[in-house]
Amino acid sequence: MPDFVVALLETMVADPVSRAGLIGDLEERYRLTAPAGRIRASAWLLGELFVIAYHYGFGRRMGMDTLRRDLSFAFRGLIARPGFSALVITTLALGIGANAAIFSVVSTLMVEPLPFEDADRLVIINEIEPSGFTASVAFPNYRDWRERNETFERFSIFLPSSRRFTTVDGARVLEVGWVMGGFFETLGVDPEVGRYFSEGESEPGAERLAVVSHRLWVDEWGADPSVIGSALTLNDEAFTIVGVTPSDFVLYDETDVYLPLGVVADGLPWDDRQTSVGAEIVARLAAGVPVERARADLQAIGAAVEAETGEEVDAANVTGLRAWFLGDTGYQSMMLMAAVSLLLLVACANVANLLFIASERRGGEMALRTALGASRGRIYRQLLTESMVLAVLGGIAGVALAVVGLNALLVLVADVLPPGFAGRIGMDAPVLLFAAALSLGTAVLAGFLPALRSARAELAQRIRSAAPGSVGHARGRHVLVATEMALSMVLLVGAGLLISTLARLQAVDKGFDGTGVLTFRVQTPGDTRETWMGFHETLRDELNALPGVTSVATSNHFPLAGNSWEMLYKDEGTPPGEEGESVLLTMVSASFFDTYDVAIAEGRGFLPSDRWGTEPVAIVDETLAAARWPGQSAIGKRVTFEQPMGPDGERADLWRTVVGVAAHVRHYELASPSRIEVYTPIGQSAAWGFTSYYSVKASVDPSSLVPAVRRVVARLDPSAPLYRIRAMEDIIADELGPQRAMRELLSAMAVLTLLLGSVGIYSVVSHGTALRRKELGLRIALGGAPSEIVALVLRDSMLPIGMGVVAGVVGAIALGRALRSVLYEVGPTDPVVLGSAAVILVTVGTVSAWLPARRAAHVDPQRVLREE
Amino acid sequence: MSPERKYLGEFEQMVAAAILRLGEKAYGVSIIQTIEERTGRPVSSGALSVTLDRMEKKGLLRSRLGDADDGRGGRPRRYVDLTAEGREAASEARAAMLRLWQGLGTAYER
Repeated sequence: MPDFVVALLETMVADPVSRAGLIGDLEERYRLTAPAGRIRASAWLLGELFVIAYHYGFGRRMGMDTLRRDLSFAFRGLIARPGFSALVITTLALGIGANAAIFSVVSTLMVEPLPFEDADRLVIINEIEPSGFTASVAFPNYRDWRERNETFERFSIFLPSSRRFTTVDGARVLEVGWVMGGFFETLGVDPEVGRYFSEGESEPGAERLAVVSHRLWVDEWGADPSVIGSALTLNDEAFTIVGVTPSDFVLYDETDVYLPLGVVADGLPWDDRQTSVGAEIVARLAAGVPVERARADLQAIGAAVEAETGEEVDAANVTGLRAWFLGDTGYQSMMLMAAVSLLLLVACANVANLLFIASERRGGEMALRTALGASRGRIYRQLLTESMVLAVLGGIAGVALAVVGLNALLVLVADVLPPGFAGRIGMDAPVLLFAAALSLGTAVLAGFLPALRSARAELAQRIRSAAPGSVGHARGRHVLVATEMALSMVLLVGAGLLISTLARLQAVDKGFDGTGVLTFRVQTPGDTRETWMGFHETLRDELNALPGVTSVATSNHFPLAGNSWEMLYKDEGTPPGEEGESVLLTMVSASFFDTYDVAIAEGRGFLPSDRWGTEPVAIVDETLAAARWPGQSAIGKRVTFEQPMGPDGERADLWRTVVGVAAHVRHYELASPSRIEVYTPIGQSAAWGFTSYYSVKASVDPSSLVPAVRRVVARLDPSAPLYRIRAMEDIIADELGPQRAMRELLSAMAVLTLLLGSVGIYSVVSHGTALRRKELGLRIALGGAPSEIVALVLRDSMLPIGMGVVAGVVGAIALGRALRSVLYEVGPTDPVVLGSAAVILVTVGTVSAWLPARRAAHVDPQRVLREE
Repeated sequence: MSPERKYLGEFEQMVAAAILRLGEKAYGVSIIQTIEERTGRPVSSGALSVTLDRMEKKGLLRSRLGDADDGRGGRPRRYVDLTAEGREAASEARAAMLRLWQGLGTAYER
């Protein structure tokens, strides 16, 4: 039997003979039950314990009768002081509730198992270029790593793409995941229905099989299991549906259908190490292999391949699945946990303060009880019982608050959380345990110090000196106030840094203006270059004719779209034999620069006349111009980054003449510059037939254009679905999601902390003035002006507030450093932020002290002096 | 002063009968096993313990602790034995029950 059960039983049965017999019997029977399994035995034991508790009751032995007495005493005491109790319980509820809510998010993100077999061994691999930008995996690297590694159990590849899906209702675009090398075997989860295609079925020459996502299965076929075996037509090719993923298959959440990569293997650059088309590796580490060792293994393979082939192999970027899912969110949520625990500390300090004051006011009562023979232990216990009751009530209120708060929190962070996580966050058992632990911890922390003081023997003398409290205790209270102020300062600065960061990010020169731009994507087959180009020209013209539309651009991607085209760039200055530098290639219609208001710093933009057959032209960005031709004009330079297939079937460099220099556009993220950018006229591009990105700038609300845009596209080509319709302003807002969520949360915490801190100061100062009533009354009677009295009282409270601000600056700088990953162009020692926080804190502190001070200045001296 | 009549409740009767059956070997676990085997009714140690306490208080049984036992986590057994008064009460209860049931045959069975 577990020891704690024995210990519990020891407290239940008073008679030694009964106790020995009963515990022995239970032990004997427990050993008889044990073979039936731990769970059965535990369930049996629990049942027995209930029966014993029912018959014998808890705590008969350990003086628990006193506990019962203490409890009812504590309750009566709290009911007798409703204002005090409500204040303490509310304070605790705020602290515990906020912590429980944040903890429920953090524990889900950091601890909750991912829905895959042995998910700790799953990793995602992509590449890191020497420039530091991550890139997708080149197929030859995948092949070499897969064949030569000694650290992985399974090694599969995933290539995202999209395909047109035609049904009787029309066409839409599905997100496709082409997989190979045992993708489903690697993840190790059973399909919802049907089966997966196997590793062997995804190789070149594969049959057209399809595994559809749970979401598509529900949306498209109403979760009908008989869909297995039926055909799914994608880009006019029929795939046979063999299975459905389970609903919690959260990896590559956006994917609608998984297809064997072997089907399209012919068209992929299997032997080109310098070209990657968006693939990532999904692999399972061999048992016991840490990520670092796997990384070193792939690194060594890369070096060996470089030595053998003379080709460059990028470093492998191996990320554990949880870290991959979380990205920065994991770290940020830990930061929030740290921040919210400061709020709890302030709540604790406040409660300790209130209990201090309460115990001093009751000094007489305690002294009387001591004098009447209550032991010091009894008094400790009664005071601790009181704070325990308060903590339990505060904890219950806190959990209620957390439930409400969590809903608000989830709304705030929904877009920031990785897919599949939000649904699993809730007030579950670990969160409730956490809240219970916090309540108990708070009770001990906040209750113990005052209890210790109150029970001191000196109390006896208080009966004589009817005035409760002493000036000596003021120091302890001032330390608490200073602590509260310091912690408030830390949170205020944290919130200030985020406010400043967000303002800077919103104002950042991103190189483009997305205001009023509606974006979407269109996939149209187009049999020839001419028909494809023609379709887009007509579509642009028709969209341009819509009322309110001022400019329409077609491109192969646009800023912040989450994907990009990268090419290797060379110019006439590149030494022969050198591989070139990776640049971002944006193919645009002439209207692109107007639509996004991208400044042309030099030369010209594109013209509608820049089309196939005319002199090939390009526009480069300022970064490129400054790096390659410092002090010179870029106009007229010749550059190349495309190798189109010539009529003879050979690939050759296509050289272009630079006609303009554009401002640098932040393509990947707002917080940092992206790769060097080059632009080509879409009408003059070597490639065609790709998914086209549309940007429609309007003088009206972009979302109001959607129905008209749909009509136009449907009229031109009913089989050309448009998808991912979003306003560019929303895309930009999403980019700022993490910072916005952090700002809101830290601001809320700072305001709450400040509120608690001001309550703390208010109660300390008003208690202090109450103790000094007689003295203050005397001063007034002797002719002290109210303003002098106010100044006197305020002076006393200024010191702890000042100390708090100073200590807070130190803590705030530490927090600022920890926050660095979410900050943008603002440091932890930013004088404006630190200064504003200090001003706010001192103002709130002074006002909180001034209110009771003013009251003290207006006491009636006659009454006070008569009170003697 | 006439001796106070001691009635045995249903569960007390079962316990008393089990103790008589077991003789010197009557202690918690053996009593429970006897009752469970013969009546098919599960008995909890807590319920038995509190019943033994009550019967002892009424003077119907006495208990003594045996030697410490490793199979019981080092705790001794609480052996119990009916007092003369206990035996009398058990015998009276049995007789009362038999008188009540006599002559009913199996008519009550459906």
